[in-house]
This record gives sequence, C-alpha cells and structure tokens, in this order.
Amino acid sequence: MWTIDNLSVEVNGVLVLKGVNLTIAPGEIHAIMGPNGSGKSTLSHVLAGHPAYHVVGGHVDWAGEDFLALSPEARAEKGFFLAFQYPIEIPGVNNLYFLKTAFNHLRAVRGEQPLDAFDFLAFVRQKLALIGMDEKFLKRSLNEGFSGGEKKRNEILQMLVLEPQLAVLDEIDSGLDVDALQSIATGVNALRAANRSILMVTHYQRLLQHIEPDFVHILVNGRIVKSGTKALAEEVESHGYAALQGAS
Amino acid sequence: MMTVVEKPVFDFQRYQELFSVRQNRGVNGLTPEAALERVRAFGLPTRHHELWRYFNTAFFNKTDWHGPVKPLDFELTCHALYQSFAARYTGYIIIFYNGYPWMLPATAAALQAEGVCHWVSPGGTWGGASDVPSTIRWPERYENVMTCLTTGLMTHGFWLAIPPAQVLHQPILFFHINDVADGSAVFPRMQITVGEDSRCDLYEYYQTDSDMLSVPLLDIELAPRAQLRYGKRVRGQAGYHVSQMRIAQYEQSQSVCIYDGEGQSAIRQDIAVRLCGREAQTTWYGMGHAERTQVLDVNMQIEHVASHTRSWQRIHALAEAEGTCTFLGRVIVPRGVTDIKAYEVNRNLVMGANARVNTRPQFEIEADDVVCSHGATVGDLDPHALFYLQSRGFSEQQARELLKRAFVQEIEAILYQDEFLGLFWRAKEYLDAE
Repeated sequence: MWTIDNLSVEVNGVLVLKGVNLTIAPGEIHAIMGPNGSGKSTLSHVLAGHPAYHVVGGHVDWAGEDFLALSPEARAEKGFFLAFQYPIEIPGVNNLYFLKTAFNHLRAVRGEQPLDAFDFLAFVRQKLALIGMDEKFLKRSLNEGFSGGEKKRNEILQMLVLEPQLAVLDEIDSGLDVDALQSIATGVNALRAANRSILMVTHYQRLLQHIEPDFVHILVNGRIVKSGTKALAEEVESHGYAALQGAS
Repeated sequence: MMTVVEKPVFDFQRYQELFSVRQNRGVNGLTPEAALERVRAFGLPTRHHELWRYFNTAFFNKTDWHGPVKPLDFELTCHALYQSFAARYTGYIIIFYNGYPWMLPATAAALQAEGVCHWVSPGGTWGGASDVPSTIRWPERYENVMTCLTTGLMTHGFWLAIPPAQVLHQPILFFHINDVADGSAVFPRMQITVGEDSRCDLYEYYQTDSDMLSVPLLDIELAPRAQLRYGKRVRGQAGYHVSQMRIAQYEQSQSVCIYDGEGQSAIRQDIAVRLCGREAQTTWYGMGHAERTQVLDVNMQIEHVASHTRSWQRIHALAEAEGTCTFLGRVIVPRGVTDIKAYEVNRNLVMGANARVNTRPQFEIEADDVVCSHGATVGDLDPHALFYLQSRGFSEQQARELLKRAFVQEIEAILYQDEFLGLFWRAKEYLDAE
C-alpha cells in the first residue's frame, strides 16, 4: 500500500502542492488529470526525489517506510520508477549499457545474480518487440537524437526492463501519434500485475481509452478536488476542468 | 607573431653550452646561435603573455636543463619497448627513447620498399641517409619562441617523405618514451611530407614519467589530394610537454586528426593548420583531461588561406581537482577567399571547486562568402542528467562517474567509426592498462 498524506511541496519558494492525499493499493492503476500548472509534474518529481522540490508538509508511506526520507536511487531500489515527461539526452552513455547496468544493479539489490550480456539482450529483445521499438536504439546514446515519441518508448522500455513495483508515468502520452500511443499502452498494460501499482499523470482522456484506470483524480491548484472512476475522465473531456474549479 | 611583455632572464650562454654546441653541430648546416638569438629577442614565455596566460611557465626558467645522455642500455631498452609495442600494433614503429631515435633495420627496409624516403638526424645508425638529396634541410622555424628553441636546440629528428600516389600499407607509429629523472630536455623534430594522391596514417605517443621537458616540433606537408590520418596521445606522471605542430595542406588534401592529453605536469599543444590549396579539408577531435594540479593548454589555429576550404573541430576538456584546461581556437579567414566553411565547438566539464577551464573560440573573418559557427560550453555535470540516472538506481557517485565517462566517450563514439582512429583509442586502453 502506498499512501500520500497531506503532501505539500514548494518549488522556488512557491507552494505548488497544497495537501495532496492519495492511497494506491497493489494492483491498482490510478490516473491524475488536471490543467496546466495544477502540480501534476511536481507530484511526479517529488515522488522521485528531485532535489529542486522541497516537501514542506505531509508524508508518503510505502509499506510502512518513510518514502520521502529515501534518496532517489534508494527509491528506485525499492521499486519506484518515474517515466519522465521530458527524458534527458545523455550523449556518450550507450542505451544498452545503461539498461543492463541499471537492471543488474537492481537484481543485485534484490540478492539475484546478474544476467550476462547474451541473456540480457535476449530479455530486452522481448520487451522491444512488445512496444514495437527497433533494436538499433539500443546501440545509440541514451535518448540522444531520439524523437519525442522514441524517447517516450524508451522510457516504457526502461520500465518494462526494470519491472518496478510502483510506476509513475508523467504525461507519457504527450506528443505521441496514435500508433505510438497504442504501442506504449501495450507496454504499460503488459506490466499490469497484482503486486504492481501505476500512477498515470495526463491531460487527456485518450490515454485512458488505452489503459483503463481503476481510479481517476482531478488535481487543481495543488489539491485533488475530485476522485472517481473512469467516468470522471469522460466528464472532464465533456465539460473541461473549468467546471471543476469551483470544487477547489 | 608572438610578443612578450615581460622577459625573464634568459641564460643564453648556458642554453648554448648545454644544448647547441654539443647536440647540433653539423645538422644540415643550421646555426643554433641564430635561433637562440631569436629566443633571446622573444624572451621566454610568461603568464603576462596573452597566449601563455593560463599555463605554468615557471619551469622554463630553470637553468639546469640539459641535453639527455644516451642511456647505456639504450639498445636493449628499445628492443624491449619495440617488442611490447609490436605485440599490440601493426605499423612502422619508431622509438625515441629519452630523445634518441631507434628503429629496427627491418622496419627501415620495409619503409624503403614502400618507396618512402626517411632519414634520422643527427646520430642515427640506420636509414637511407645516403639517399637524401642534398637539398633537404630542416626548415628554420622562427614563428615564436618555442619553434626558435626547437630550431636552435634540436636534439634528434626524423624526416620522412612519402612519394606521390603511394598508400602506406601500415601506419607510422612514433613512440616517445622519456624516463630519465635528471632534468633533461629533448627537442625532437619530425618532418613528414605526403606526396600527391598519397595516403598516410601517423600516430604519435608521448610518455614522460620523470621531470623531463619535451619540446617537439612536427611539420607536415600534404601535397594535392594527399590524405592524412593523425593521432597523438600524451600521458605520464610528470614532465612537461610543449609541442608545436604545423600542417600545410594543398589542393583537395584532407586531414583527420585527433589528440588526447592527460597526465604530465603540464601539456601545451600549439597546432597550426594552413589550408593553402582549394578544397583542402581538416577535421580535428580533441580530448583533454587535467587532474591534480595539471595544466593542459591547447592553442589551435586554422587558416583558410585558399577558397573552398573546410575545417571542423570538436574539442572536449575535463578539469578535475585543481587541474586547468585552456583552449584557444582561432580560425582565420582572410580577405579575398570565397566559399569557406568552418565549425568549432569546445565543450568543457569542470569537476572540482578548484578546477579551472579557460576557453576562447575565436573567428577572425575578413571575407564575405563564409559559413562559420563556433560555440563553447563550460559547466559541471548536468544536474538533470544526474537525477535521471539516480532515478534509475545509480548512486550519485556512480552517476557522476558514468557522466564523466560519457563526456569522454562522446568523442570516442565518433572515433570508433573510423578504423584507424578506433585503433588509436584501443591503443589508449592498452597503454592505460600497462
């Protein structure tokens, strides 16, 4: 169980999150929707431990552990994964090397033997096929020169390889064409499992047509103003966020 | 032309005694006294001079520099070095051990079989000295104080001419190994001429693990349509390396060059390329790494003397601890030339509160029909990249190391696409492991 309790976060002296409450049980998929500037990406980054975001109130509990006290890498070791809205390009870091190093590091943390290069490549090829990603991207530097869609696919590839317990997908659908969105949704759906939770952050309902959430939350002005089922997303699509502003 | 504001005392007589009289007598009729007079006129470099502002120039003022004594075990050591290098490299291996040249007779014969005329001077025991035309001389270089020093104090040299329409089957590999800790200084010269339609791969490796000073001067001339691939690596635990390199390129000639410097106390590389013929092209990759209190100073100048010429530079430098990296990249396009393209980028990584980077990409353009771009970046590791890696489970230390390596590998990745330049990096890995 993953519990966010009254979380307040400041960025550059501005209070962006103003008491967010959310509980995600294993196996559930939640979606957070909201207008621009509502604090969606702030929530994603603070959960990943970005040093620029300062928690000024509340706490996050994961399986009885103070999640916010952990370093970003410790959160990853515990099984947290953030799919970035704007994945960083890192020239000189080979994509395959990066994946293998991260993968084997997490295996080592779990007390498992590392996979050798051949076994790992076979493993990655399965994941590539799942999201229709060309193997040539493994040979390139991490995200360097990738199109927006390719970067998003690469994020999903990492998620499939690292098999997190809790994945936060920060606007993974932005800038994608229909086919790319379908591929990414296939990847995310493949990861659904009884012991795995997913939190999707999005502006649009169209992502939710491909990945069906159990719960939808509306974040406005740093607070969750309404929660419901997938029908809530359809309501937003019909009436816009403005109709919900009063609820804040 | 170099001008020096402050001239420290230059002990002319002592320099002359220590080097010129003993070392240079009879070398092609050069007159060391004339060169040393010019050194005296220039004055030794100091930090007051714009081009030497960030360099550690104090060691020039040592008055106990002296020419190296030929090691007693010279032959044996060179044989051993040769065996070690030959096990890894295929090429014409030429060794300068503490400034003294050495080459297997079989290598000399193989070079001659390729039609290559070569000559070692002044004390070599091999080579086709008798075949050298009497008109061949070591050019007197008086552009700046360092070329004057090498012109005047030249210890040994290697002269090589590749005939027209000759593609060398193997690269020429110069290994300069300096290890005597007695304050010796060496002033080697290399003169390479690549004939029309010929191709040559050239690799220079300098290692100094003592306090020796090495001041090499390399002159390369590329005749029309000649091609050169050149690699240079400088490393070592101590020592001072102050090199001068001059390339003159004629019509449609091409050069692809890489240098890599790390270690030693101070490394200074002055590189000047003149694109004298139409459609000549030069491409440069550079990677420098200064740590501890090391100083790495690169002074690059490319002159587009002829029309339709191209130059491309990508130079990276990494300064750690109290290291200092400096890059001055001048690209000169004089009036009257047309259709020039030049590109220069210098990326610097500063890791450490006391590390320093100085960069000055500089274009001097007096012509109109020119497409030029340049840029420089200086900074610590990208915090967003660090966070990205940490979010995937890398510790901060691991992430920093990975990004540091990536910075270097950004250049390597390009080079691995080229067979010869890839060889250069594999050589680097091997030599680092040694």
